[in-house]
Amino acid sequence: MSLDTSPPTAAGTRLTQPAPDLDSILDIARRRRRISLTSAAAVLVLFMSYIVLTTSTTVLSGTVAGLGLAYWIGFSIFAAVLVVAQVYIRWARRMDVTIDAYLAADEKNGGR
Amino acid sequence: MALSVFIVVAIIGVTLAITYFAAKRNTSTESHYVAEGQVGPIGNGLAISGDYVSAASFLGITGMIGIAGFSGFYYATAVPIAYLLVLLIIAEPLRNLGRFTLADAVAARFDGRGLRGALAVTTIVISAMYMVIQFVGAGLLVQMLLGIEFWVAVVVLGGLMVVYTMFGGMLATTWVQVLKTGLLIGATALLLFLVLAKFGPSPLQVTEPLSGDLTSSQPQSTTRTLDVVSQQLALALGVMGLPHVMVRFLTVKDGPAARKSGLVALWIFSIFYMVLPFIGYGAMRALGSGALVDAHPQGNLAIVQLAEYLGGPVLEAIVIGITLATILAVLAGVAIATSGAFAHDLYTHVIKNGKASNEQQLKVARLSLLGIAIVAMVLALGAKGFNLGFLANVAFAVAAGTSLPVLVLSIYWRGFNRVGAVWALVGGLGVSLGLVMISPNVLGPTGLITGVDPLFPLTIPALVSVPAGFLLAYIGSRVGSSRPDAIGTDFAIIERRALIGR
Repeated sequence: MSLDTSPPTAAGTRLTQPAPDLDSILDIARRRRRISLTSAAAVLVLFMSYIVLTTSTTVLSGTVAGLGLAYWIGFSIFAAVLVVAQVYIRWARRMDVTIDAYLAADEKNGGR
Repeated sequence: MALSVFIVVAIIGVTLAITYFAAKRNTSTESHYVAEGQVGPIGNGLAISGDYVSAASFLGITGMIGIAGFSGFYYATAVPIAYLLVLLIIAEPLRNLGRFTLADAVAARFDGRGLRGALAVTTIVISAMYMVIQFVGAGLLVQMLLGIEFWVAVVVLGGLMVVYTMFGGMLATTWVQVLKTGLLIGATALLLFLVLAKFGPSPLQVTEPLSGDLTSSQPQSTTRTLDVVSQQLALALGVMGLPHVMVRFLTVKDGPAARKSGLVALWIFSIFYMVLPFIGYGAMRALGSGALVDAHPQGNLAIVQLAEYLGGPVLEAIVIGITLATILAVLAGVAIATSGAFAHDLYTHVIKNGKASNEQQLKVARLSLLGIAIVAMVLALGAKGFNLGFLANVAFAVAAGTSLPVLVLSIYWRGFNRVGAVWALVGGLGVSLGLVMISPNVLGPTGLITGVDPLFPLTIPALVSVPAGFLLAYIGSRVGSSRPDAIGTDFAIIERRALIGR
């Protein structure tokens, strides 16, 4: 059972392979769900740690180039959020190709 | 003043024209509730960001930073995180399972009138709090900015909200929201440019001459630390339970479009909230914190004062006009989500047991908007003196402690059942509101009843109410595990639909 989610090549090599079955599609989707939920939990923990550090310690109380370190870290978290979101979207798009291939085959067979 | 009124009237004119054109297409329940699922991902992303970037952000965060420095930034930090969590956890499954309302997504797994009714009531409670906040804030703002009586401002804004939503439905609400987001981003960019031209050109030159205490974080007391942590938890998780935000993911055609909408909104949030501190510090340097406090105790007029300082009465009038457009757009978004809960969930499914025709449902949805507006306006007139920040935090905490556990567990947990969902909704609502009733917001020297010490030390209950909501869902599910009628649709079917949309 392949978990390959890469899109078909220009030469169409993957088009000659049979469309994935539902079980393998669901396996890929479950794997994506696990990674999404793990990423969400990690981001939440990272963010709440930032809040605890800024409200209860002096660890982030310094200033760098005229701006508080807490701002720099806060802006870095914003940037990290965008990176995680972009990676997630790119990965999900690749999975869409596999799902679309399955759905097209499913429709061709008159649905299952 | 005359210029401000002219710009406000011009913006309202454009929004009414949008409503006129949208009304021609607003002929079915599908178009009224979710714009037939035909909103493009970029437009929807702009509308999602518009739903959250309210006057509270634009005026409140800049004002708080202008007065107190870093502590105002706490109101901005959670927003991009909240929407990343929406993107990773709920956007796509919600689009795949839902139809018109949040309750539809849960009903895909657990049908039945009781749970749907409880979800609708929760939606209405959260939305009512949100609408009262917007009405009171808008009324006070219009009173201060344009010299109009509070009640007149509330009635005029309520009337406009009804017109947008009753005639234009979700389509008009979305277009008005997109227009407002564009205007708000434009105004923010212009203000940043002028601040940098005056004190920059580098953003760091804006903050460099200020004391380190103002531009950096400072440790707080234990209670204050727990309060901030609780508030941030409510803001980060509460968005996933906010009906008017979540319903936007039902206005696009499929899961990938929902995903893309979330990404567009994330980019807007991240840039917008990264820019706001520099505008706040610009106001601090231009006018001084004292002048900002003199104009408004929480600094809510800082951005208007800054606009006048940097661009004269023309820029001031533009900022006032855009602020009012912001408030109107958010009000319309909340109203349309509430009308869905009322007409689609309560009327059609709970009262009529699913047997109402589309025409009947559309008629009730439109009439409910009038009722919702009247109730919200009456509540707002009575809540003029309330602490709006407190109300907003409670709305988020209730959303995070009630709708959130039910939505997330319906999608992700095989062992979840109808009993657990009801326990989470009813118990979560009880815990959230109960903790507020015994908190410093109600009891003690800063509350409504003085002379009695608060029994719960935090002003925002999320730190307790969110785990309580999930715990109640778990215990309820264990209690109901032996009841076959509580199981609902086979989880394998729900999982497949949530994950791949089929």
